Amino acid sequence: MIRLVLAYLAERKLTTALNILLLAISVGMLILLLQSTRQLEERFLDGAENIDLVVGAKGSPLQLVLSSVYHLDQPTGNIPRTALAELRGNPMVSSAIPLALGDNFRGFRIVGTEPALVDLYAAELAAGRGFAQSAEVVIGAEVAAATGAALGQLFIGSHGFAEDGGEQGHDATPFVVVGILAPTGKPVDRLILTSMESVWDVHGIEHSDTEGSGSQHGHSEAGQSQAADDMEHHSSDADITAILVSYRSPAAAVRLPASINRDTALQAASPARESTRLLTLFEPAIEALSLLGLLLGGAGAFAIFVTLWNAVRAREGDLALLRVMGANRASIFGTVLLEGVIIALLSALAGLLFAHGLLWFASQSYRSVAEAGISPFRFYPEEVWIVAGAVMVGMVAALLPAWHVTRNNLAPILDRN
Amino acid sequence: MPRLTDATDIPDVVPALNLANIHHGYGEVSILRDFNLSMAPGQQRLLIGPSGSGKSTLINLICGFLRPDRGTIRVAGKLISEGSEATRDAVRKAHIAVVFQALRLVSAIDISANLLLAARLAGLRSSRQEALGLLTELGIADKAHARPHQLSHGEAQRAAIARALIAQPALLIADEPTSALDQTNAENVGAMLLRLAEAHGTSLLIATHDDRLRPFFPAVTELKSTVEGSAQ
Ligand SMILES: Nc1ncnc2c1ncn2[C@@H]1O[C@H](COP(=O)(O)OP(=O)(O)O)[C@@H](O)[C@H]1O
Ligand SMILES: [Mg+2]
Repeated sequence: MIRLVLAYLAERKLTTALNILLLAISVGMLILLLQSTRQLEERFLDGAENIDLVVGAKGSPLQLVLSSVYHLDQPTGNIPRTALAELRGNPMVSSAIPLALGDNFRGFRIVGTEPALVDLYAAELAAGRGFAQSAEVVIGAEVAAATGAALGQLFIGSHGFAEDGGEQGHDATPFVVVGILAPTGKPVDRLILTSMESVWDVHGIEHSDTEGSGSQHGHSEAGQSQAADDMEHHSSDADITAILVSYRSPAAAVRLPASINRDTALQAASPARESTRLLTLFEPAIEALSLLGLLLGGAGAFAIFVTLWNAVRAREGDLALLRVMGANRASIFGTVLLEGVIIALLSALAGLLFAHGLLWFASQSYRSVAEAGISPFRFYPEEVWIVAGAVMVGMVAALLPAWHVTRNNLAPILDRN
Repeated sequence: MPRLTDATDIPDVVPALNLANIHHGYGEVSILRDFNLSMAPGQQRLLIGPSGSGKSTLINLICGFLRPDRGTIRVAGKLISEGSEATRDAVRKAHIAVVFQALRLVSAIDISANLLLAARLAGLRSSRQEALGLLTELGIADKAHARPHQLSHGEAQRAAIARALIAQPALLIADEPTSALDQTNAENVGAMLLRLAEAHGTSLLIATHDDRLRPFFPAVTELKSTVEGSAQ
């Protein structure tokens, strides 16, 4: 009987393909939405787990958080080194870790910081040791995987945050890899960590040699490159880009950011608040797209219904014949139902493949997608529900046609010659 | 082994088909009145009558799709005129195969798949070889993998007969098998059905309005056109 159902489906290939396409687009869309919202949520909430506050130059708080916690955007500017000591002196602060940004190696950011940053992201060394001397670096798991860098590997960083021509590397002071972090699924995977001094050293040397060459740095986003350029020019003053703060007690959340924003020239932004704000920005779009996905699913169900309805009517003779040859009503009902379920199952599989394929393609083709931490190979239990929902849709769409053929009185059909 | 003796002669043989005192009508219109028919296992019989005389109605009754207003119908000793749909389905599945005038080969699958489907539905585990053997017997082995629409009418009819035979029915029914055929072909089909029924030891009931088949059959049942019915 299954063979017969498959033969029926194969007999009207085009209609079947069309049915599958419609429902598959719906399934794919819903899965894509689920994947992107879930992965972004996870990325943003996990990434900022232990960072209560980011302190940096005035500007957009979202930009400050994105640049210094998730390492996605350009920094808002630089702040004086004295700010670090002041924060550390504040009784509400349990830890304050500085960041100095500005260079990259093959698009992976080189971050001048302190060894404690590794703990902030709960990362562990997979090989080697932490950075100690100037020019020693510890690299994240993704950096290691993408560049193939092993312990002892020497490399030279380039200006800015994006990979560019490669001609603009600093002339001297190669970095040496002394440690590789285990994968964490957090932004640190994509970072190259070194000491603040290393970053300052590199720029100190560079600025004495090629003064005024900032305009050649070729940043892709002209507007946002201003901050990075500023930082490069001022880096001989040993400025820092931002400070990641952990509170001593939750009560600090109320007072510390407010006092920093009011009383100083600095800006304090909460990663949790900013990422929630960012995610809520997407909410209406996600809701609209979900609705569209569901509507497409409804259209897919209707298409299956119409197809099966016409099919069983065209096939009344066949079905009556099956009855004469010994099939009972239940198995006739089952064949029509099975047809709907197979269409839906194929659609769900196609949708699943389509969604993950698209994620894969996007993560291969667009650096920003990979940087946002979108992985095509993560699966959520909700996907099973979407697939099950699609199968249910196929079944429901087949229910009426199936019921219609079984309640048919067979005798008049047999009469018809 | 085909037995050609009449069931009525030897009372302890279970008839392949037995209709006793059948009354049936549609609404006010009576089609069959006190109709009786018995066929011994392996017996061949022609059911002849003009169009509208109730032949198809009778087939539907024998298959258990219709229930008679009165009387009983047994196929291979099993009651099919009464009982639940499931029990009537089971009797039909086990003992009856029908060759329709319109043949009704399933167009989505090839000829051998049509045969195997029929076997499966009859509850048999027939092999491809058995199907091919039957098709060879009917001279259309080369069409095993053809689709129904690729066959001539004659070939399709043979395929439909093969499909009925693979179910190993106690009773093979053919409805108007010769209506679309010329004299020679009609006679050929009649002879072929008789020969195959005998070879396979199945009882054969042919419903037809075609007088050309009469000479081939020793046993003939006539259905008169329904006098009680309005103008036919
Ligand atoms: N489902 C039905 N409802 C009402 N009348 C029917 C039905 N089926 C057949 N008849 C009538 O019963 C009579 C016998 O029909 P049928 O059994 O098809 O005869 P045959 O097969 O011998 O031509 C005809 O007059 C036909 O109009
Ligand atoms: Mg008829």
